[in-house]
Amino acid sequence: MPRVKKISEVKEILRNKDQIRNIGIIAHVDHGKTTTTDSLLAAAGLLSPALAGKALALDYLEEEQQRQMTIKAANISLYYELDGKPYIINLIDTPGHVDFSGRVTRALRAIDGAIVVVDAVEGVMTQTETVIRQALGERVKPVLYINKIDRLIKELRLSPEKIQEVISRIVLEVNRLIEMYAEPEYKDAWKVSFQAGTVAMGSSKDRWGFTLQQAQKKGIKFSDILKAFNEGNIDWLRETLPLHEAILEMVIKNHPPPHVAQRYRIPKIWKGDIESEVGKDMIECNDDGIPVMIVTDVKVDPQAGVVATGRLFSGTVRDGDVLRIVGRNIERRVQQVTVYMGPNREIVNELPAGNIPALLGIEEARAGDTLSTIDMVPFESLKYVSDPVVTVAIEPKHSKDLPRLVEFLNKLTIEDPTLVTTIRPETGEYLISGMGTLHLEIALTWIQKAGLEVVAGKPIILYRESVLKRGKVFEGKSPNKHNRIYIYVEKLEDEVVELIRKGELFDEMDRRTIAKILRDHGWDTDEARGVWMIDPNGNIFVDMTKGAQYLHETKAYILSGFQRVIQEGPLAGEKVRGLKAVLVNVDLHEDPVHRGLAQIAPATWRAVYASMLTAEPTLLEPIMRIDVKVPQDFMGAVTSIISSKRGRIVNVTQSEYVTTVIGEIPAAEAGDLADQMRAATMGKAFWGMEFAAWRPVPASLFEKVVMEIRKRKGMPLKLPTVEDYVEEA
Amino acid sequence: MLKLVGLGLGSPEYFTRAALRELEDSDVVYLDTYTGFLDERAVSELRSLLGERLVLAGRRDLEEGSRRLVELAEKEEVSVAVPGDPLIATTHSSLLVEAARRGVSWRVVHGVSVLSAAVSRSGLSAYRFGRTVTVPRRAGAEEYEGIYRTIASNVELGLHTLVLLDTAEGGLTAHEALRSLLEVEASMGSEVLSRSTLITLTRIGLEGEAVVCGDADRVMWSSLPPPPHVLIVPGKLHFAEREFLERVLGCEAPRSRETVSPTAARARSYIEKAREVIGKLEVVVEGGETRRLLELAESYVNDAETFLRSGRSEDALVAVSYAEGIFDALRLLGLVRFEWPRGRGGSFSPREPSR
Repeated sequence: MPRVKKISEVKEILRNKDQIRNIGIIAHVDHGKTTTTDSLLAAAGLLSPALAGKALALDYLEEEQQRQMTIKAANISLYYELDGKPYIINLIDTPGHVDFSGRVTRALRAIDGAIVVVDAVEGVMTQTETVIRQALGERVKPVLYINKIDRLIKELRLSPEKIQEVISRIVLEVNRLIEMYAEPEYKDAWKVSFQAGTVAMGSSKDRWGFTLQQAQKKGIKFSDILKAFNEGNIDWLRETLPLHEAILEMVIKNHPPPHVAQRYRIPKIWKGDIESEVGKDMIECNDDGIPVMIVTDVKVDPQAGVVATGRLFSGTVRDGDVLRIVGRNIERRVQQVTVYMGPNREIVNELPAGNIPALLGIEEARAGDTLSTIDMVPFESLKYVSDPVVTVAIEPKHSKDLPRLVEFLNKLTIEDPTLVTTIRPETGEYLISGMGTLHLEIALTWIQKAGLEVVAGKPIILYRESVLKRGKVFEGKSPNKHNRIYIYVEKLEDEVVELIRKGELFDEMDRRTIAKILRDHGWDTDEARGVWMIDPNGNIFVDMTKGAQYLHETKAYILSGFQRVIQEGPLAGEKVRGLKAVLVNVDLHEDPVHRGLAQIAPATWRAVYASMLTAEPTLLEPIMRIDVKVPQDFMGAVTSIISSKRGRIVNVTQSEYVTTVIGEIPAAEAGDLADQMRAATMGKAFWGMEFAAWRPVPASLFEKVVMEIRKRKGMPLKLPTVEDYVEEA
Repeated sequence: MLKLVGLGLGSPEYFTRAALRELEDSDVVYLDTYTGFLDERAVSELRSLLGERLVLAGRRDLEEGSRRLVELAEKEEVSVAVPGDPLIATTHSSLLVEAARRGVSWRVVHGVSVLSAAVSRSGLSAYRFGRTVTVPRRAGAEEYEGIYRTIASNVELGLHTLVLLDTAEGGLTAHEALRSLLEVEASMGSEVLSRSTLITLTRIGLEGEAVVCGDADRVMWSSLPPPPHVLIVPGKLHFAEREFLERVLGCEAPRSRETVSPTAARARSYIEKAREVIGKLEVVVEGGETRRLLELAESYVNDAETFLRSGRSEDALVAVSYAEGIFDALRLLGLVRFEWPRGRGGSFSPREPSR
């Protein structure tokens, strides 16, 4: 059955939308997503069958193999024939590790169906819940694949009845999540069941698997499977019940083709007017419509340069077409249209709507960009909001490596916009900031792999500064004392900060849309209309002045003063989050030369800083959510480690074989967690961490932490007072 | 004691005896190096006069350091030497406010300011200048728009505008400023500057002083000595001013901006419309008060014309608007039939039309 298709044949199939599926595999880390992908790849004839299960084709970065985790989203087109009809299944890999969950959601936008992989032994885990919630949020239809059935038999030696019980419970739990997170019209339609053929089970490692229907059709009973397994007759299982058959048939029968899915998905995932021409083109998946593609992944290929991959929702892209990066005023010519086949790309020259092209030549494209020929409402806000929580300083061991290091860091941030690199000019150090310590470790491995020797410092936790209530109005004077700016600050509502973080509220939006969203969240009309700036870190500047003279001319200077506050809070020079600053009044000098940037920006930041100090300023620390699976005997050890690290236990669930402890600990305390956990559980704990929230540093530690940061930054070891910014009245 | 000492136009020749005496009597002299222009000779002369007592002061020293400076003046004789006249086109008044607040005695020594020198050298009447404006070295588009609007509103009132050009960073040239202003003007679809006579005054009171008067083209194409530069945009010219520009400054055919106040322009356009309505109007329902009210409206229009001729444009506008109101009321009651002429703009219409 597996066969290598000629690219010309593949191209022909890509024209028939009925024969296309765009799907992804989503799972908790280590539940077997990559091995599953590989057994599919083997069947598609694009990889030698003997290698599947070991080659981890998607994880072609070496350190990913070591960690057994898929870090970089890649894309594959699979070929399968069902009832004599050929199908192309575009499989977009979505990373399971939530350190990088920015990418998970973006990839979800490009797919119409998802295979949820759940480890039979571990069951539904936190990240399973996260990814199911995210998928349903993008109207991606799920099917379920229960992996590692062999472990139930081999490791846990369960009876057939027990096995069925375990499996039914997993199905039940997945359905509970669908019930909880799906929109009303999909709650019932999208639940999974054996009867409907939307549940498969098997072993990705050994490449066998089945759905109820397939087993029945082939006249195979569960006891036959157990028997074969116990006799070690894996080859029989693999030949009789090949996994790819189970999964791909489940996908083809249950996941919608692109033109069907786009009808109901576009109104959900795109914020523009669906009655517009481009809106209709996307809903109809129109090959002759306006080309619209959302970029989900960008890689820098040493030969080909930047490769932008994503979903083409409408139109046809051809070599030589000129596309614009929406909202960025950049137009580029497509050098080549290609599709992914495993790690390789094949040139196809053109591709119609509903497919996943990989375009060469759009050098400036970044993941999240919308490409089109017109100016339209983009799928995502321009700015990708990353919330890095840890940073590390690096220096090249040999200074001659510096130019290469700079170049490599640049490539890294193109491929992974959640990594932020900055230069500290005073010391010449490079700072890399990421979503967690693991994220940074991986980045450092990449740097070493590139043959660059670097000295890395100790990871530093990044804090945020915020306020808890409303501050007083302060008058900020310009240095020449001829301009006065009146501002107060207050805590920005958590839900509004969340909207900004999710990219649903951003500065490039039309002001009327912004006003409407904020009114819907309880803002009063005048304030909602007065928004001057929405900062992606979660801060808003509002103008509430009435008829102030020369305000228009000084707006940019006032905002640049506010920018400084956002970048460096008053307590410890950390970034500010959750601040709303309200401009109440201004008194400006008559002549422009006396109200320039050097005058207005300081007047602004003085008022903002002073008001913050009266608004209960606070330091927020990153809190990580930790999820530990251990044998029951070690549960006490785990909970006491979490508690000893200023952590708290959120939930403990027990099943027969394993206890799950979910807790939260501050990132600042997680440094030696790995060692302690290993020691205390004799290496039997399996655990993962993800960023959960920003929370105020406890009052008892506040001053200590602030002073530590100030010391590190060479700031005076004394908390600032209002008088440092404004004169007494 | 805190003394603000004006140094004049920037060359040592403009130092006054009063200035030199006060500076010599000071324990320390802060020389303001950022609000105005001083040539090298002026600085070296001050240095040889004051030696170590001369401190070159930047914006930070005089603005952020103002409190320290005034505190020092409680005990010592402190001078701040400022190009020009120390309180003209500077923000040094805050130093005196601070001194007064702390009970420190103070004194001001005046110098010649470019504000008076430029006006004087242009030959235009000092009584006929409107708001002065400065173009900052790094002005953005919004600032240029604001500056342009200041000039335009002066011109509208028939007044001249003195446009000072920043002296920071080697000084802004009249060419640079004018180019940006003309760009803004083009983008606004206006033509105040491109159709005006302009005067550039460069290096007044300094070596290489030059004055060029002509239209925008002439100014843009003439080579000017290095800054400081100043630009004047004349408004409406009195015949004596026109003669001066022609004979003394060598301007060919100076253009006077014959300006009509916006109010007068509106009144004229409304009067014309009202006249048109009177000509075309049909009476639908005879009898009652219709004819009498129409006559009343017509008399208001006549009044408006009389007011306008005698320069009382506000009164003219009020009168013609009253007439419009009567016409509209009669029409809405269905007593007369007419339509307001379209396309000339200016007539009142309700902001929220009733549905």
